[in-house]
Amino acid sequence: MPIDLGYLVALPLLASLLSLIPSLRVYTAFIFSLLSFLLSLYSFIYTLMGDIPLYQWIGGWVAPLGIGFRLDGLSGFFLLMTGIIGFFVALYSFSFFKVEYQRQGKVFWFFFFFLWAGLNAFFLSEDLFNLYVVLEVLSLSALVLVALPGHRKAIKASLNYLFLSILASMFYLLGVAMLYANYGVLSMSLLSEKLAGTHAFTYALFPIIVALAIKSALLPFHFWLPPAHSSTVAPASALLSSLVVKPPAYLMLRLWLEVLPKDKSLEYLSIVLSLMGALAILVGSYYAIRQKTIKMLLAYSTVAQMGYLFLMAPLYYHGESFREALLQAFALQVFSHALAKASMFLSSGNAIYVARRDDLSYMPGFAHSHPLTFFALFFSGATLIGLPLSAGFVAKFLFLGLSIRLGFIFQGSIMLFGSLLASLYVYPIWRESFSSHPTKFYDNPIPQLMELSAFFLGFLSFSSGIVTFLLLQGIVRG
Amino acid sequence: MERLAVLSLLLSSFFVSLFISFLKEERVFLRSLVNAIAAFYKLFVVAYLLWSVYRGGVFEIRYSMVPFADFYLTVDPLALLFVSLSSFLWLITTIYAIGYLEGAPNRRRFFVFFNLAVTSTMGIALAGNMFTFFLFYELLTLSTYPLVVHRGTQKALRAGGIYLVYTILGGSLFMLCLVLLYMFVGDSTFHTGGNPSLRAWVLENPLWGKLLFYGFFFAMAVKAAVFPLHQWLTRAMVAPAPVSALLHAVAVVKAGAFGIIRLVYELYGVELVQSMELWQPLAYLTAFTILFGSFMAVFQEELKKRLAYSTMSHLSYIILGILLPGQLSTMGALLHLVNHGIMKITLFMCLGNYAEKYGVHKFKELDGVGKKMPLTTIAFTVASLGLIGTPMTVGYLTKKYLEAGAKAAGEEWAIYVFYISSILSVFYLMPIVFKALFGRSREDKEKKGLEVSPLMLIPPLITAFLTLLFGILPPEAISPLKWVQYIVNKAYGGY
Repeated sequence: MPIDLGYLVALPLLASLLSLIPSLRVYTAFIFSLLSFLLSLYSFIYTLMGDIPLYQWIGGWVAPLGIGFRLDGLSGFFLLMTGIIGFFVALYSFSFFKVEYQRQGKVFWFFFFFLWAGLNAFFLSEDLFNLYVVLEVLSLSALVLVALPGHRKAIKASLNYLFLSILASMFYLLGVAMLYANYGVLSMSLLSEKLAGTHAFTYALFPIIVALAIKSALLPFHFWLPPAHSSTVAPASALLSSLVVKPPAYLMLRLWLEVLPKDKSLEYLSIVLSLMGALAILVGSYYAIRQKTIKMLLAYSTVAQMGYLFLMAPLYYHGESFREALLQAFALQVFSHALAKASMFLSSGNAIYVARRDDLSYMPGFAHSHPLTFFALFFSGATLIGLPLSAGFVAKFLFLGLSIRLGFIFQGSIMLFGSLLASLYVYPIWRESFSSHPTKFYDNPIPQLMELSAFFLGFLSFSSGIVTFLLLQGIVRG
Repeated sequence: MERLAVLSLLLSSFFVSLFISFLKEERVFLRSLVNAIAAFYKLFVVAYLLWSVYRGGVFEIRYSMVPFADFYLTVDPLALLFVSLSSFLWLITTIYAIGYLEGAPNRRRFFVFFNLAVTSTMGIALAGNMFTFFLFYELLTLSTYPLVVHRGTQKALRAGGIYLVYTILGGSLFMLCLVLLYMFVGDSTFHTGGNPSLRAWVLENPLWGKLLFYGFFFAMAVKAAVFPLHQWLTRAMVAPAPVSALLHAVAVVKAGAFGIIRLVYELYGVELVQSMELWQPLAYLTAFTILFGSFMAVFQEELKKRLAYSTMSHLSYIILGILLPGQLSTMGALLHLVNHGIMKITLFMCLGNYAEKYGVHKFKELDGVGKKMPLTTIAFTVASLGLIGTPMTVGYLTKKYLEAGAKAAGEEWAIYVFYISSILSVFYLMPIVFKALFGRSREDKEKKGLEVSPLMLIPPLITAFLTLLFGILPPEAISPLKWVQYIVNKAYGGY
């Protein structure tokens, strides 16, 4: 039975409004996060069984004027990802804001659900202007989440993020305006028809790609990310690092695969993006290795992991015959990184809760005192490195295979090297947690919910590799 | 039913580890009970599979995991050899570990990863293609790292770091070779006598074929501790005794050797390996490893290190047996896979007992321990004699097969390598026995009661008994020898 896709957006929006009523906050948060999760799960299952792609027009207004939603394999998969992470982060936040940052807890839920609605809307939209609006929604809620702790550092990071995000939005809008002026349509499917065979206005797409690169923190524009993701509270960091940076990359993939025509200039662009991605992996990993605090380490690792998505840009351009494998590789890289990074940030929240400070050298003995949190760090670390059976491994295997098949040896070797670098920055966390140094901090227990939600996210990110065939059926179907 | 059997073989220990991770640290009894039940259950499944595979049953699970590659589990006689070895030794070690770790901290974490490691060993055994093999091969790395660093001392952490460096680099090489294999050939299924599509491709591109073979070989050689890649093994001996016993004498290193068996016999095929002369340089390397390991073992003061070097040399017995052409050496290699496991685990458990009761870690501390712990010392002596290759033990059998194989292959130099190594092993094992039995103890305080708890005493006695039993059983009886004969007949009858 097809669902009304509007609910996927309306439900979290309603929740964000209801969460403003203090007496209802906890109930709203719990009920609506569960409902939204179930709805995402249902729409994912629908992509496995039902008729896709599914198009729906809000209020019956059709293209080019109306707002349309589209559900296909890829968006269904990302809805599921958002659902899983949203649900577990919500579970974590119940406990977290009870024991810490009580004041911030009052506004957190509003923006949490606002962000969730935005993410769902983003994955469902296929109209470039629509996507612009949603991207703004995302940036807006992300902005508040960055500033949530309210101390100087967080505000500064948030402002930095604001400036860059406005810059990116302007670039994006510029591109959209140019396209609209020339073709009169903004729906991706209509646009790809108009663009087919032309070379005229592909340059309109350059500003769009640049905007997306800024928003997903590609190398020269990466400097906003580490402070923004590391200075805020753990659940917000988890959301930002795992979910908020992903939509721009997702849009980029859609553009390459569905809209952009074959054009020499685009090929050059893809090579530039790929080089930047490679640099992002190297530089991001290098700084991650050098960090002494857990959250900064994780934030730089996000820069590196996002690099993979851009490193493979030439494959998006050349790899039409491997479309399926490409989509799967991309989806899995995003999925595994999202789950693993969410789990790691939640665990870092646990570590900071126990040690009262964010410092790698205060980790010793974590594997002895808080095994569940340690398992979370262990599994998600393995996923980041890309060790089997994790979904990260499957993604890397596919990317590596495709880059060899298509003759991109450079990209393939950077990919392998990136895994080695990832093991270098994950390793200190493991080593310190196993150390048997006695530490006085670790007698205080962590609330069970905080440990369990981190553990499950980590475990899912690791074990989902084995059921990739199930997860990726929708993508294969269209 | 068949699929269920295969899956339960793989997943039983995985579920145990998942279950244990949610149990409280204090629930010792429940944890031990679940562990023991799972171990016995697994043995039961293995027995069922042995019986039905012998009668020609075919078991497999196959699905397309990613566009290029299949997840493929299959039960063939060779897989069953490794499965039955490791599930049996798993049971033994679980019992031993319950006794050994009594009262130690973090037992929950230990058993979680212990069971994960066994899961991956099962996966390695059952893998029907290189892709699946690789999945579990890396999972083994991941699940054994926490066991190596279990104690959390600086020394353990450093050893764990070195272990990770070696295995992750080896894993990257493996992954590269695997991806190349899939891109060039598109198939990595194991076939008796070699994968036909790989064979066709290698004949067209001999250089790439050669490179890929060596790539795979060295990726596995990291775990099998072949000469330049052995550093991690000797350091990983800081792990608790049960870990060294099962994982570093049996599961991890044997996983490497088992991979080489699959590579040589079922991916490339013996014919190809021989006709392209891929095996010769590797045979020299492993022969050197045999001598090097035995030689280094003689000079080790630390007892576990001594055994580690001995493991290194004996693993290369297996690999040399695989590489030498001919049926007899194959039989020797497969037999030694089992026999070395049984003997080495005995030695490690005995050393664990010495260390646990009297704190003996070094050679010079051994004085007189033998008189205080007679049963342990008997087990140790029997297993030592086995490793040396004395008649009436399993070690003698494998040695004879390996020597006969070397002779049949026309590689007489290999026989001398085996001889020299045997003599060296007398030098590194017998002094331990003599010093334990006849050395004069400095402090003649004998601790009261049984020498160690029965949980730690019975396992080494059982394996020591098997060392003798399998050595003197007639060839017709049900024994590893018979199963190996069955495998080899099948494999060499295949073409």
